[in-house]
Amino acid sequence: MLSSILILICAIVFPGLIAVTKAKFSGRRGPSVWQPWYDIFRLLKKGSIFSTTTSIIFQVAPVINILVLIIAALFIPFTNKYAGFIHFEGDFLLFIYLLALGKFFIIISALDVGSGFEGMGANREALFSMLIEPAIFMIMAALVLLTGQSSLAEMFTTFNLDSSSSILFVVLSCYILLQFSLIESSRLPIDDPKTHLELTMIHEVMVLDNSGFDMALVGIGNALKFSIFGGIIANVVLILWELPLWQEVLIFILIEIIFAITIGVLESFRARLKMIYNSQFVLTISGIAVVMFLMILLLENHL
Amino acid sequence: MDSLFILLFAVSILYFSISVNIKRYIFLLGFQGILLFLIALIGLDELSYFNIGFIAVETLVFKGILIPVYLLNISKRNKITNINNFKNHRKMKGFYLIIATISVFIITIILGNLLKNDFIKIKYLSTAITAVIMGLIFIVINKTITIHIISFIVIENGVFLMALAVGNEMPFLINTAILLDLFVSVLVLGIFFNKLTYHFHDDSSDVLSSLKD
Repeated sequence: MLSSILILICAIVFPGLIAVTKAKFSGRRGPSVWQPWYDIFRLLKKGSIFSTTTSIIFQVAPVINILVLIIAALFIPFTNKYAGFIHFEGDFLLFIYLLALGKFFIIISALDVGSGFEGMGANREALFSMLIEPAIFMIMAALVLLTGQSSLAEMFTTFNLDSSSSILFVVLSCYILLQFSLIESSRLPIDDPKTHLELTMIHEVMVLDNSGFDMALVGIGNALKFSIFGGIIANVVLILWELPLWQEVLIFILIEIIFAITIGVLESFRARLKMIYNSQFVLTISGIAVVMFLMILLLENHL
Repeated sequence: MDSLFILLFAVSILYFSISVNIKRYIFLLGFQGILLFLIALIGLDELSYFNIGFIAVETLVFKGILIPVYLLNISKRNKITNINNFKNHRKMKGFYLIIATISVFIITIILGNLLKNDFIKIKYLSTAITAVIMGLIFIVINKTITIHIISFIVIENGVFLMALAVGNEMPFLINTAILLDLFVSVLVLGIFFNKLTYHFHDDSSDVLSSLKD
């Protein structure tokens, strides 16, 4: 439960930190760290407007998305000390599918609108999600292989840095998770959240018809998703040392902050990829995950 | 630790598949050179000072620094920055190249395991064969001569890794042969390439068809 609370707390400052970092690197004073949340509270006070062409799917999708993300956050353990609020054998599969379910509802809600632009965005989002999915499965499979456990909590408890394959796993999985979170959250180099041209949008074009309360939920969902991925990276790093609880909590928050700043720095110095190169970039990340998994298979003599 | 470097070597082959910028190709070559030195340093059991020196010169100095700098100069002099600037430069998209690389890697690992030989390091061998096969594929599908040179060095890197896979010591003869290969390939191709672009102002191997006595 501790990690879920920390993830929720970190989600509050996450979007603001990214925006401030980007502003500082581009020589601007930038908004306050709390500005994204001022916007979200402003939107929460408003009602939602639904197009007459939409059905119930469009109305429930943002709520389902935020709900599944909150449930997914409950699965994350806190280092190797505390299990997640929900934990059972094979829970990592449900965790991955919960993330996919939220995305699925956002995609079909975009298709529900009937707009050509939103359909195009949904199509792109579905393609990139499909191509990046093997990466997270390979990371989890490698973790199962190294620990012999199938529960997220057990995996982090059993994991240690005794073998060279474990070191290899930590280095590569941090890199893959960083790229995975950027792709899943539709950030650079795949998508640009600041773009104003519908033809080049991916995630933003899918939520063009959402307004007021629903738009606020989409914003909260994005922040929460980032924080969940940051939490997983923090766990992977924290299991390397045995520290007192208060230090681990501080380092967990610190890693989340560093993660947000890293994303801000990456977005400041990285150009957006041309749309035709997006799919091959996403596939490369999955490819790296596959190569890592095969190498761990070899090292652990499972072949 | 050598597993991490081997893995990074395999990842660099993946990045070769999606690169279009010449600078990135050259950076990856230099990176592979440094990785090969670290792999050789960790992977070889019987190393004399002479061997370490020789391998350092071959991998760090030549593959890691000199060749990338030389190729960078050639590309700057001939104003070659991006292979997309050339018409029909590549017959295969990066997307399919990545699938091909992963498939080759999986097949070589399976075949390597079938060998069941204790003297062969499978992780070295599979990565090496992947580098050799992908280097050949890069040469076949690309029309730009710069990429031909770079792909040739990828093949050489694969051969170097293969030599490491089959023994605990690296024979002096293999080292010398690889170094000689590099001299001949890079220097001769570099000179040839400079002449070619001087006459045709193009990096494509298609222009060779218009050569006459």
